[in-house]
Amino acid sequence: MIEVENLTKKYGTTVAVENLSFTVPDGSVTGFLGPNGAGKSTTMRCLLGLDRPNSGKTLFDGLPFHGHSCPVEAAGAVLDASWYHPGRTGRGHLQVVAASAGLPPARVGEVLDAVGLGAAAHRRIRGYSLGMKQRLGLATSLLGNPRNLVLDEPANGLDPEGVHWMRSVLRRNADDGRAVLVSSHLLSEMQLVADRLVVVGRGRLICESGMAEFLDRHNGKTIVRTDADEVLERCLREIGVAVTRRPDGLNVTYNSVVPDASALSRLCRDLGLLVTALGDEPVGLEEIFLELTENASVYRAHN
Amino acid sequence: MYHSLRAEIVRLWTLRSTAVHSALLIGSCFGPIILMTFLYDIEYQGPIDAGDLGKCASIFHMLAVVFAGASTATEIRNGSTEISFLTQRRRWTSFAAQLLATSSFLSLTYVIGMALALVAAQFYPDGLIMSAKGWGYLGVYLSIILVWGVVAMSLAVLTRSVAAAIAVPLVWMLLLEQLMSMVPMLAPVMGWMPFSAGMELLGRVLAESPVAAGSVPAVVVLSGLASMFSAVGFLCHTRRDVPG
Repeated sequence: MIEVENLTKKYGTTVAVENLSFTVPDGSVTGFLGPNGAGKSTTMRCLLGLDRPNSGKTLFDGLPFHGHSCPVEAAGAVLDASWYHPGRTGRGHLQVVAASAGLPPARVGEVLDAVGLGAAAHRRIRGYSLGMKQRLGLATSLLGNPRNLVLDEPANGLDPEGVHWMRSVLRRNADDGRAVLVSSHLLSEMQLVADRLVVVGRGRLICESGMAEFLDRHNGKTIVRTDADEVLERCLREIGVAVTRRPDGLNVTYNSVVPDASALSRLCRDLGLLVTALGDEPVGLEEIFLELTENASVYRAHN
Repeated sequence: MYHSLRAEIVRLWTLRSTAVHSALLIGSCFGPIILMTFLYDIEYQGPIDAGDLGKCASIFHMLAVVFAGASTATEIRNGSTEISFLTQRRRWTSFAAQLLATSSFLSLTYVIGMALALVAAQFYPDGLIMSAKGWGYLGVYLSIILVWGVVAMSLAVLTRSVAAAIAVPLVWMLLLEQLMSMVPMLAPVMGWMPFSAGMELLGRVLAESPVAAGSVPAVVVLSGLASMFSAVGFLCHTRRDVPG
């Protein structure tokens, strides 16, 4: 189990993470979400002892990462696809890691085969694609057969088959009882693989819950499209109903005034609007994420 | 510490550039002797001695600084610190192991290079002459090279820059101290400048006078330099956040 307790990390006067607490239980994949600059990577770096937090603590199975007699057995991690010397072969890189961790050299061949890099093991890393580097990263993190996994954007750069494979690897590791913490910007992918979610923005916790609970809590919404969306939007705002404009219509959050689809269609009828689409389909993780982090983005383009 | 040292040795072993550097370092020791043999000039008649080998060692010295600085900074930029910290319990072991592994590598290549230089000198028309002082001279030169290697490695940890790790020691040795030596009013302090102190010490080893006499400043400066830079390196390596 991974625990983060009241973690605060500052770089000079910039507060990267502030009083952040969450838990990654064993046997589950926990998605770690947040916009760019939210503090995800900083949190992961503090977890692994790469950065020193200003306050708070991070624990793997009740101990700080470097409190374990063999850190690679406590947690396996790769946070950056540039953690490889380009002049070294894939096998050479893993040999260095194995030697550094005191693991038997035979383990290198095992993990190379496990991630499907056996045939490319003799090639220099400068010739690897991003997807191959991701596979090598996963091999690095699995080398010590760790009880916990911490991965930053592991599916980044993978082809569809690779994404599917990565999903199955994460699932298998969680099913084996490991605590898996994964950050990703591929929200649709996260919705498929994660059991739990931790959402951060501007270094603070926005939400921590199970995936189903998270989606349920934020549902009660619908998408409606009419022949005059702007009229409906104005009216809904006037009567206190939350509404956001999307390319495919209006995203309406039901409340006591407009509690369901019937009430909404009646309102459209009263306004003389023609409803061209009214969906009851649940809103996806991406929509909820964007809504939750609307005010938490550090970097935002101005149109 | 054993695992850290093994990792550093595997790091060196798994890079092709290590072989290239080995060839350059070893070649710099015996290459000039072979050239001197081929381009033998009667005007410079006389056997090869420790002073001639010292000229080879001075080339080795510069290449050693380049190797120590470049390899350390390049590894840091490619995530060696992260890998070490994720696999080892204590931060200091990886830097200590790197100092030890790189110094051992430089010592090994120096010994092999000088051994080949001695073999090559056998074919020099006027032969080779080596006294006990000559062996001492080569040994002291190796110590000086290792001190500057430590400086380059520590600078690599401090600055995380290949250019700075190589350029700072080279510019100090080859430019700044040379310019300072041209200023008469700085003459009294030149004995306390690290590169000049090293050269002064080498001169004393070969000289007739007892080595101990007047060599204290050089020993103090060189050991101080190595201690100060390695302390800074250790401090930066263990206290700072890992570059993100």
